[in-house]
Amino acid sequence: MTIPLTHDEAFAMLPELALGLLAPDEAAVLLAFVQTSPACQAELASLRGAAGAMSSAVPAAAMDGAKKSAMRDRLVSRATASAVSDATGTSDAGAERAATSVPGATTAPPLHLEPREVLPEKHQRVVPGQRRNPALQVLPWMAAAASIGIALAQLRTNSELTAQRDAARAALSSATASATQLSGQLASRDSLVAAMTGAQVRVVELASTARLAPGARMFWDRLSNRWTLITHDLQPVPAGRTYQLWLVTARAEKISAGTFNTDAQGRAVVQATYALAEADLAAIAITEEPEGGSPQPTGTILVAGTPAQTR
Amino acid sequence: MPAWALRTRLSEDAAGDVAIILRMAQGDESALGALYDRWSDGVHALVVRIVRDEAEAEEVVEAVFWQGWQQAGRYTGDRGTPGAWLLAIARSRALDRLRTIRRRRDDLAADDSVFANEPAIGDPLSDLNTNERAGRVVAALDTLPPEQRTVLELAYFEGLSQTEIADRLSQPLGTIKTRARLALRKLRDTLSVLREELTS
Repeated sequence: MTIPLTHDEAFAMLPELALGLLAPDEAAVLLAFVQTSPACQAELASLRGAAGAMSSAVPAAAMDGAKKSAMRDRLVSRATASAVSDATGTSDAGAERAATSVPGATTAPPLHLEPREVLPEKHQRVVPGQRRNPALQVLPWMAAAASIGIALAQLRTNSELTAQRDAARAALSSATASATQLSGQLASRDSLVAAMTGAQVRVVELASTARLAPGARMFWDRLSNRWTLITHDLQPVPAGRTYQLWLVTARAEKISAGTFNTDAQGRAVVQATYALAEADLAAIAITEEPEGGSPQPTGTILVAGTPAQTR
Repeated sequence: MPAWALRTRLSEDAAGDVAIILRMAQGDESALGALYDRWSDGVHALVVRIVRDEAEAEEVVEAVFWQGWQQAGRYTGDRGTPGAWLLAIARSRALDRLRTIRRRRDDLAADDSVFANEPAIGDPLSDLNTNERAGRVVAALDTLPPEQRTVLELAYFEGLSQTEIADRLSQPLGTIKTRARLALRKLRDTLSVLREELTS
């Protein structure tokens, strides 16, 4: 390929990159250049946005209702099962590979346990008309009794082993559920910490307009355009109502950043992603709205902050 | 074009999708069902458009949602709205399947498009609901000259390289490059104009 030596050449090729038209080596060279040019990065992002929007232009083609429903059931069942197997660490990597490399694979068929093989009649020896010593005649009974005893002992042992196995499975299942929960909590915390500690994170304090002192703090990661709001002492709204978070621009646009409710302690963590130039942010506010939120704020501003109240 | 025209503003639908993705990331399998309810028709439509085979498409659709479940913890807002992210996965998966089908038929040698490996992208109409967005994208595509639109569709829905498009259309490679550049920039600008009209 002709390696772009100038900004203009690279800029001109960006549509081909956004559409995936370039060969891998060409794309790699161009991507390396893009990393050095904010203008190219912005252009590429907008072109990819336009290309991606083409997905929306496809006429609707709904699946057959029964197949659609069956697929939904399979997916949810697999997700439930994976939550357990992933946490056990027994087969997560393999199961994941199988799931991705065999699209549409359903869960394994049920295991069929065949009944134990019965000895054919011809193997059951019977020798008629033979006289036996009476003392010796007891021996088969003794042997039979001993066999029964051994069988009973084995049965008891098997039963105990089965019980132990079931107990171990239950313990494993419980531990797995706990590990899954903890893993999810940890991932959530990691995400939260990242959103609040980035180099480009700006903090906006929101103060209450009421006598009680609810408040909130907004962490705005300007690098990833991620907004993380943490409230305190904001009493939960009743059923049918919701809190709604607003970003107010310099042009007085009120942009909804999501609805939420708080817990019994008045706490909530709300995250949203929205690209906004720093100079465009005039204020952040929280109002109480009907459940589901409102296109524009209708309720009183309960908590609000401005960029001046940043640190 | 004003820079603000490309800002991502989340619609109520998209905000709801973000909440679903967060639940999925925390292992809530019912959230996968909710995402499926909201997006299975859209994903199915895109996949059918690309692979053009209902049975193949159904397998791909299931794989798309399974991948979404597995990667929900890695979703970030810079990958676009959840819908854009999911459709990007769907397109990538469907193109992979299409290439497999083609190889199976010995119609086409394997190729590797870097696009499939790129992160999902932002949608300039992300604040519109699905029907509104579809209508505006169709309207924007309709403004393109047919020869430019064809290049876009062959690239996007069939994953062809520009050399393959040139062969398919019996046109010089340079012509295909020019059409692709003009077409995508015009589509982007038209979408932005529609975006501005909507907000004004």
